[in-house]
Amino acid sequence: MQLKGGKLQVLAEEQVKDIHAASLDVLEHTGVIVPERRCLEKLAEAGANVDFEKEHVLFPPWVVEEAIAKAPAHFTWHGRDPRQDVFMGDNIVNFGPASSVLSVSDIDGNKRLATVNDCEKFTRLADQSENIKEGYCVVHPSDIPDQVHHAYMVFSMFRNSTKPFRGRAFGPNEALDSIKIAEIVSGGEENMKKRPNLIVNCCPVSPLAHGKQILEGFYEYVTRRLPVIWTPEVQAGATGPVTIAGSIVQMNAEILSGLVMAQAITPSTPVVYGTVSSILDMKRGVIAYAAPEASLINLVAAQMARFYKIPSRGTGGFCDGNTLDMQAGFESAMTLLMTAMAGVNYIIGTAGAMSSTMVCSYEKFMIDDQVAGMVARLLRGVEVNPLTMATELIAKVGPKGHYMGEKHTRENLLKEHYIPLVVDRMKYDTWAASGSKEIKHLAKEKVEKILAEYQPEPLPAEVEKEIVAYIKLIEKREGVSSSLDKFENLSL
Amino acid sequence: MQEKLEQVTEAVLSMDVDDVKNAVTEALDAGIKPLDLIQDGLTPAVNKVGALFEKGECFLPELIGTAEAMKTGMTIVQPLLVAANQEQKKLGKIVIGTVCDDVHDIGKNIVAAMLSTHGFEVIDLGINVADDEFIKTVEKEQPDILGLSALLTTTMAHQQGVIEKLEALNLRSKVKVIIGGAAVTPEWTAKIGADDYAADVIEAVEKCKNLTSA
Repeated sequence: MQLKGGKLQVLAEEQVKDIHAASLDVLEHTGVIVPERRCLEKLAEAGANVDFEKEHVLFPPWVVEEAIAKAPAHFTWHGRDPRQDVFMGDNIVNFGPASSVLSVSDIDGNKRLATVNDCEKFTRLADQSENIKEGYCVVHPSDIPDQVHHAYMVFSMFRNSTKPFRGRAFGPNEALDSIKIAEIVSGGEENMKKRPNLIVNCCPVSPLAHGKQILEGFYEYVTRRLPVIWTPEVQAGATGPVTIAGSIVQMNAEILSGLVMAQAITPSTPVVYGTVSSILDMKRGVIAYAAPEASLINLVAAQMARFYKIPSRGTGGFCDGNTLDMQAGFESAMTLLMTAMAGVNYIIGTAGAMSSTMVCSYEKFMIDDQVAGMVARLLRGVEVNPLTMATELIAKVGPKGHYMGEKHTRENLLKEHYIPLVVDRMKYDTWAASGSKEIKHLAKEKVEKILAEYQPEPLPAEVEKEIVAYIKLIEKREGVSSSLDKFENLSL
Repeated sequence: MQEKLEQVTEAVLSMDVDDVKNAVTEALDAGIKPLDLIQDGLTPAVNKVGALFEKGECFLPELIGTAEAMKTGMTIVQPLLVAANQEQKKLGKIVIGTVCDDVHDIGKNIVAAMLSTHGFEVIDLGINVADDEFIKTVEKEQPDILGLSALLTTTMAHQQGVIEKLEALNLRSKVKVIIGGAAVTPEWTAKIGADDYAADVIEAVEKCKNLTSA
């Protein structure tokens, strides 16, 4: 069932327009650095004022407005299984796991670097979840050469989930390899055109610049009209004004510059309005992903995206704390709830991560998945109709009666009540007698059971064989020895 | 005399660059020696702000503002020290930069500013610095510390590359290597054989001080 958000708004309509006008001003008079030749040429063709030597671009307002009009209002992000397709647009909310996490921690705080095996396991957790809509592998594996981590991650995600996910784009090789593997799964270039099964997330370098390698990757996706998310990570006070509105104006300008580029390369490429922006913590000099200001930025992002009539991506479920304690609880829950109620279409970070996305845990994934379930229930709201208002039943049961044995209760329970995954609702003494377990212990039991039992739909044998052959070519090209034996049950 | 020194301290605390220029010039005109001006005029301001920061009564923007004001004062005083053949005792010399293919520098810039305020000589090579440029600069400048910053998981490999090149040229033992960037972990630090890593700006200053006093 699709979840809808968007009822929670933080800006008035006039303020949304003010931000738009201010961004146009920034784009027209301050401009953006674009260090990639082909992008500069396309921007010049589209009417922007390009200084090729300084790699600096100024955008006349009409160029920006024209590009906004071309960007589609929605698109479908296809999974291996059509029943897992994700609709991006219309205030529909989709939860995606955390990503690019380097280390894994157990519930006792023992931390280690993540591996290919973790990639596979986290993807499976996402695949079996009712709430998570994307199969991203959460971690960045450290037990393989750098040159191939992108291919291993993409392969891991395709073989362990039928849900859609994102490709990689740091440089042309990452992009082309990701796209090639996606094409193999699709059954060829033509099939992939009809049912695009890969999108990509790109980040500018705030303030007001793009990175060369990201643009090279971005170019490959956009020439194939694959959807691209532009996601600034502005840190208010450091790489953007300390005032939230100022950082939003700058972020908005950065996203629009990426949107104009996409439309200039391939008109009507889907572009998603993304944010992972927040404030810089001014005591430690680190980004504070779970600060309330991050939620405010997400709320505004949803409004700006609706104003531009394009889909949105935000962050939720993020946690700056380092252990599975109350801080983790309130940070992850608050940020997820806010972004979901804002109506952001795709929320990255929902499950798994803490320590500002540097560390993740299987147990936290489980707990966060449950929070997502609770948030989903909130978004579903209250169904009001004769059946749910149940006046006939109320009359039948009458004063001093009860409802426990009624057919209506049995038939509507699962539709109306969210059944939690790992919440403890025991009475105190029962809880004490059964071991005084904390939620992280309950989550550990649950996740161990799932990982032992859950089997995702495997890739067809010929498809897997073709991808393995392609990865071996990549390894030869990069001059690295193969680590394919790190995948579970992979016939080589 | 004391009054003139206090004026310099106040000017730095106000973080007003023009006030600093005026106060320093006045102090020098009144006959205060350059070394005394640094030690009893400029440095007390930095120490005071540092203490307030520890207590949580002021934040990084104040530290950076103070560092900039101090730098302005030092630009006037430094040449006089050199002319008088005096040298301010430096805590150490550090070459710092963001590695090849990486253009993120805000953390590195704040660290560089803080280190120079704390008495380090800082040579900042900027962003997207090729491995060879780090090596050449280490050969030329013979710093105590080499600082390598990488934000992205995709550019971290260059931290390893630079260390390997130092080893190949027999330079590794001549310099302490400290690494930083959001994705850097103790495991990575140990794996590539760096001397230390800093998880944030505050740690960077503490650890650099440790590396030069060791």
